[in-house]
Amino acid sequence: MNMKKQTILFSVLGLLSLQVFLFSSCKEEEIPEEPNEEELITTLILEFENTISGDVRTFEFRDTDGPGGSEPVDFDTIRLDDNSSYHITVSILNESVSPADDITVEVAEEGVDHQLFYVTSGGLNLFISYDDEDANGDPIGLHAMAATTDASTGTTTVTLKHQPDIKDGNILTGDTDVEVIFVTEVE
Amino acid sequence: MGGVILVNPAPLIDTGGTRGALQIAGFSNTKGGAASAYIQSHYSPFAWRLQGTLKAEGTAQTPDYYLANTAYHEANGSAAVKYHKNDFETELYYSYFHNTIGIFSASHIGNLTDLENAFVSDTPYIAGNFTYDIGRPYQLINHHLVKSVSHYHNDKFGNIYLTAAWQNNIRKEYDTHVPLDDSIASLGLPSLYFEIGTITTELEWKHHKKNNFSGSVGLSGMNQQNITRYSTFIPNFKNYSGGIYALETYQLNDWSLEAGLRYDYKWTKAFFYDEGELQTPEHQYSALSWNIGSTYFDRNHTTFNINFSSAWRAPAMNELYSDGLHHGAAALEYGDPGLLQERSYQLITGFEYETPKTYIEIGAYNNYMQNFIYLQPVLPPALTIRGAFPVFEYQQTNANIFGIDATAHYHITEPFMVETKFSMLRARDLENDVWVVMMPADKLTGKVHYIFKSFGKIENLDAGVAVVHVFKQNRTYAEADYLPAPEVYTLTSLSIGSDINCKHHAISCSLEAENLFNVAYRDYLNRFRYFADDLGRNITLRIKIPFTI
Repeated sequence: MNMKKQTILFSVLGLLSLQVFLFSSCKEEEIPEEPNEEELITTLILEFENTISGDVRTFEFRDTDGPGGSEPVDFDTIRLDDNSSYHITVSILNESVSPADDITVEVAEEGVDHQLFYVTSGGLNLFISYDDEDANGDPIGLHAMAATTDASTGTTTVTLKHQPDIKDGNILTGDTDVEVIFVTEVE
Repeated sequence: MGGVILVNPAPLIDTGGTRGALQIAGFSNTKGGAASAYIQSHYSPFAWRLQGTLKAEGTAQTPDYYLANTAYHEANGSAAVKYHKNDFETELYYSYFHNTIGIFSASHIGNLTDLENAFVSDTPYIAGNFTYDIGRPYQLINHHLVKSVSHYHNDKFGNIYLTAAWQNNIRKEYDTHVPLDDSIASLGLPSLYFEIGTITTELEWKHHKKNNFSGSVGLSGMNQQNITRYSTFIPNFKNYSGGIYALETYQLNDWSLEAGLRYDYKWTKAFFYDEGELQTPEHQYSALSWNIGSTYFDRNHTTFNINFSSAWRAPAMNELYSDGLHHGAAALEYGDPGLLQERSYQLITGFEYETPKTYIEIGAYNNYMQNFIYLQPVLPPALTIRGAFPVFEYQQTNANIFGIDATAHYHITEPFMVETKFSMLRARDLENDVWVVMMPADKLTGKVHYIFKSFGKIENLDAGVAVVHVFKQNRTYAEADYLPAPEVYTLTSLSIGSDINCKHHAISCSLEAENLFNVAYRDYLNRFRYFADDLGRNITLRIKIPFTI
């Protein structure tokens, strides 16, 4: 190959790479798809029904855009009467979509892989026990019983653990789907 | 740079016959193995090479326990062909890389409570068992690279190099968290997906040495595009950048002077949705980089050099637009679209002294960084339905980094050598008057190396022992980190290598033991140090068998 041919070959290669460069810049793929509807948990609702009077109180944690972004819009203080007993019903929702997605149903269906834990701070006279069970006879915690004694204040931590095939009644096992610390007053 | 692998394949040889090599390796810590082979040949004016590697490792172990879900699988291959005639050569290279990496389960935490539980526990909260299987969470990476390099030599005007490369990098992350909704879960989608495409082109002209001047001028361009799916952590983006540079060296007797100048321009555009509205912010950055330096070679084996340079970089996409939850790290990270370009002014001096018995090298540097970008922890932690999350923001400051690297070795006898190395670095945030965190701790290394005489079929038999002492990183502060820096540690390694002559070939073998005494330690720069000890003893055996056809 003589020098002239080499120069030609070289120019062709140069042009080719230039074309690749230009072609790539015309590729119109940059617009992102609408963000996927991520499966978010936005809302935790605790419904306390007084077992004697039938009086119902609801306490909510609501962060409609999920973790990060805007601050939670609702974060209630749990206020209960002293020396009373309650039946607790839990609702877990995704309100970032319309209509809202009721995640409670999924948790109940996959009860053998989930458990809610209720931990109260020392000095708070609130005592919570499970009132439901999964297919294996272990508690889920979507339904629970609560009893109060004397007036006191403290916190109630509600934790939902995802324990696929590893459910063992231990709060440290598995993934944390929900963890909300409610300020609690027994009055 | 995200999604980009720098590859400089071994040169293709267009002499000799068809040949290749088989390489196998075994690793004791992960009960892993790797097998690799290559073959190369030439048929003038063409030369070619094929190469492939398979690697599998099981669960890694510390001295006291297994690290759950740390298996690793990899496959890669490449092909190269070269055309060479007279003064012109061009080479086309393709490589494919695929790996699956288990992410240490106990490092994948849900919130600050999980993190605090992990800190107070001596052992990881998820017990590991040995397996070659990879479970959730894991990461899957696919990388294609096509590269063309051409070189034209001309006696009159010098050498011209043209390089063009295309890369495609796909990264998928599968979280531990499987969606509760069965219909979503059954799709098996990753929780994070990045596809980064990069095209780079570079044209360089190196002129012949003339009147003691040698040097080059060049042009370079890059186009990069990212597509993110299933997450909004990093937005889709496009980058274009281009640069032009010139570099000249003037050589006179024992003395040389070098100077370079470069101009770069970068344009970026991001694409993301904010409350349902498509946002497409654009940024432009441009600046000069330069360096000036001088080297002096003394006849008594002494070299002295000094270099002063300034360079810059544009903020990366994650630094500008990170938005929210970093899966698995249980952290909220926020970028700042208003970040300015970072600029460094660096002074480096080096001194070398060399005789047949002794070698000493000392280097010192000071780097002043203007608009240094770093991740600042912000208090208080964010309140979320999944508990408290630490919050980090990308911020800028002016920082000064200086350090020293020193090496000395001495041959007690011809085959017997002792070596010592020391490195230290200090980084100060000048605006906030605090240390810059996540910087390496001081390190001292000592090494003894002996080369044995050949006997029988055994050649190049050598053995070495190295001891590395890593000091505690005391230059940190409580608010900047979850935990204080780990304590000092000392690791010992041992290596033995040899060639065994068989007919016309030499089979190379080596045996290497890292962390020989199985010391339990944690390294300051390893993110897993919050959750578990670092790796225990690992013995690696490597055998290379060359062949010809």
